[in-house]
Amino acid sequence: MKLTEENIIELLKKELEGQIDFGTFKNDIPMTDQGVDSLDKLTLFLSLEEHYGIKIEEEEIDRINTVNEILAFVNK
Amino acid sequence: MLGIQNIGTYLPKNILSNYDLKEKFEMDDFFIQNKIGVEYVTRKDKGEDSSDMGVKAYRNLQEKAGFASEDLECLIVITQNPDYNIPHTSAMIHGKLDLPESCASFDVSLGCSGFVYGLSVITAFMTQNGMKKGVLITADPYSKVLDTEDKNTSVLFGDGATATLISDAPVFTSERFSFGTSGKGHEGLICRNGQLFMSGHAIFNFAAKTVPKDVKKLLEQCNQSTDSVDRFVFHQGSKYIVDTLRKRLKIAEDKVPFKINAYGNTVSSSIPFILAEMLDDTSINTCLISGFGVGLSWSSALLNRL
Repeated sequence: MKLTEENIIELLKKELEGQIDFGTFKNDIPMTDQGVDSLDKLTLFLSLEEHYGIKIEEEEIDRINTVNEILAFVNK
Repeated sequence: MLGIQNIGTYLPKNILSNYDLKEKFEMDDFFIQNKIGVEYVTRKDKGEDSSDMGVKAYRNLQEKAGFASEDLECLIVITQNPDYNIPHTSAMIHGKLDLPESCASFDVSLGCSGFVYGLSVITAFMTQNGMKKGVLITADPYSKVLDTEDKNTSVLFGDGATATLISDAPVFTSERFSFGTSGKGHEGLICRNGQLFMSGHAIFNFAAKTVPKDVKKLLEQCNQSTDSVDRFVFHQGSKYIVDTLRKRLKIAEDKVPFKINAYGNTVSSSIPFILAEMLDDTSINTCLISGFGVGLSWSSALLNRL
């Protein structure tokens, strides 16, 4: 299954509702500059694993900072 | 029936502020207060060791419960930072407290799951041997192994100790326990060459996946639900992990205490620190406790007020 940006945004909304302004959220800007901190990234990546079976290894976490980078990683 | 009669506590007076580390570790006030939930961490004196902390918690317990040391039949210490590799810390505490020679004393090596495991061990040991008074001490000062340059651990862990009196005049008794180990994940929280390392990712994933399942299973086995239990005392790893567990289990916020902002994650002491405050609150009749971490190991128990 190929993941779309809508899939990622849906997970972000589910996990971080009220914490992020999705009206201005950009897929090519680091999530950490848009209200998603390092701990929230762990929640998002766990949610990806549980919903889509996609496991992001520890060494990849610091490298993946935008929604576009998540899509590139999971769809490669 | 044996159970928890009282709990003594000890926190060192030395306190470090995480606000002083904001620039060094790129943290803001929101992150400190609402994400890690630890504003200050306690640090033992340099000359103070695990056994000294255990003794101080025991003295506090004696002040609260007013029992005589000569009546003590069993002393168990939970620690992975003993004063020495040899002998066991419980023997040192036994000596410092001048406990009777008839008092059985041994250590259990466990981290954040240690209090819950220890509660089962001491209750079973005392029951098997017809004992009526025993003390379970938790004293695991991580400052002995912390790397002050490591954000993952140095802003989280504080030093503290507790002493729990187990007797035949209990306030809380344990109904049922659950236990588990995921040994393949042991490198997630490990002390190598005297220095602590923690993979925040590995520990978060482990706790978020394992603990809710374990809690649900225990509730089912006890014919209870998240609505029927009055309090859920989770190991106080960080505010983020406690909030994550609460959300995943869909438990009301006021049922899940988080109280370590002034002293930090005290490992196996974190649960008894909170239980100590709950003993006199008669509105709390059922309480589920759950410890998880080093090992990776976990244990949960349902406690009922008598």
